[in-house]
Amino acid sequence: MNQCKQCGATLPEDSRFCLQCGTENTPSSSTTPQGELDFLKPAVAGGLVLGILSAIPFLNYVNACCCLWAQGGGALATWLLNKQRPGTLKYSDGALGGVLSGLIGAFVATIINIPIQMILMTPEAVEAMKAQFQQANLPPQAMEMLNRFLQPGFNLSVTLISLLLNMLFLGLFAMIGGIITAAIFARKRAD
Amino acid sequence: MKRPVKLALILCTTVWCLAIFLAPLFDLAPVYLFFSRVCHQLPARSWHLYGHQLGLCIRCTSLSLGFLGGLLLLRVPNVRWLKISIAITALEWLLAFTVMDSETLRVLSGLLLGATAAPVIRTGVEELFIRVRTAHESM
Repeated sequence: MNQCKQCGATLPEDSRFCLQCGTENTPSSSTTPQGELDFLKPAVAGGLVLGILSAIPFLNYVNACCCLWAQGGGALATWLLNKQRPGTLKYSDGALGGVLSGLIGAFVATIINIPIQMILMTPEAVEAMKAQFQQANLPPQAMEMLNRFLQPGFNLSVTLISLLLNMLFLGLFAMIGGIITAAIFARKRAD
Repeated sequence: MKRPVKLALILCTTVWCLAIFLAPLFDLAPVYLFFSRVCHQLPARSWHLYGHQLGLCIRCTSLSLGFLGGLLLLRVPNVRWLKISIAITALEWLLAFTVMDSETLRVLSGLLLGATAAPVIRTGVEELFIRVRTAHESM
C-alpha cells in the first residue's frame, strides 16, 4: 500500500491518482526524501512584511479587501518554505507557515501602530474620520460603537482589543494565503 | 479526525454567512465592527436589507456564500479551477476600475472563487489539525 504524498491517504499499489485530494502520485516522486522544514525564518519574514504593511496608514486599506496583506504574508512565508524543499510542500506546511506569519504580523502591526496612533490620531483627525463614517449606511448602534473606538491619541484598551482582532484575522487569512500558495506549488510539481 | 474538522468548518462558515444577513435585520453593531476588519463596507458596493447595508460588501458576501457552497458540495480540491477563478477575479477587479463595474460579474467571480477555494482550504485545515494532534500525541 502507498501513501499519498499530498494528503497522506492510503492508496492501492497501482493507483496513480489520490481519491481524496486528486494529486498525481508517480513512483519516483513518492520516494522523494523529505527533510525537516525550518518554519521560523519564513514566518518571521512573512510576518514582518504583512505587519508593516498592515500598520502604515493608507497602505493598510488593502486589508479592507479580504485582508490581502495577510494573505500575501502567508503566501510569502510559504514561498520561502518551498525554496527549502522545492515542490514537496503539503497543504499543512502552507497552513502552519501562514498561521505563524499571521500571528507574528499581528504583534508587529500592533506595536508599529502605537506611535502612529499617538502622532496621527489628533482630535481634528478623529472628527474627520467620524464624519467619514457618517456617510456609511450603518445602523445607529453600529455608528455609536465605531465612534467609541475612534479616540484621540493612544488608548490601551483599544490597542489590546486591536491586537486580539489582529491575531484572529491576520492569522486566519495568512493561513488561507499559505494553504492556497502551497496548493499552487504542489500542483506545479504534478504538472 | 477529518470529519469533525469539516463539520466545524461548515458550522463556522454558516455562522459567518448568517451574521452577514442578521447584522442589518437586528442592528447588530458588534457584527459590523467585527466585519470592518476584513471589508471596506462601502454602501455603494453593498447590498441593503430593510434600509441598512449587509455586514459585508457584495464581493465578500459572494465569496462567503461561495465558500459555504464549496464546503457542502465539492469534495476534491481542484487547483486548476482555483487558479482560473483567481485570474477571473483579478480580471474582473481590473475591469471594474477601468472599463465596466458590473455587480453581476462581481457576484459570479466571488461565488466561483469562494467555491473553488473551499475544498483546498478544508484539506489544508484538516492536515494541520492531524499534524498538531500527531505532534501532541508523540510528546
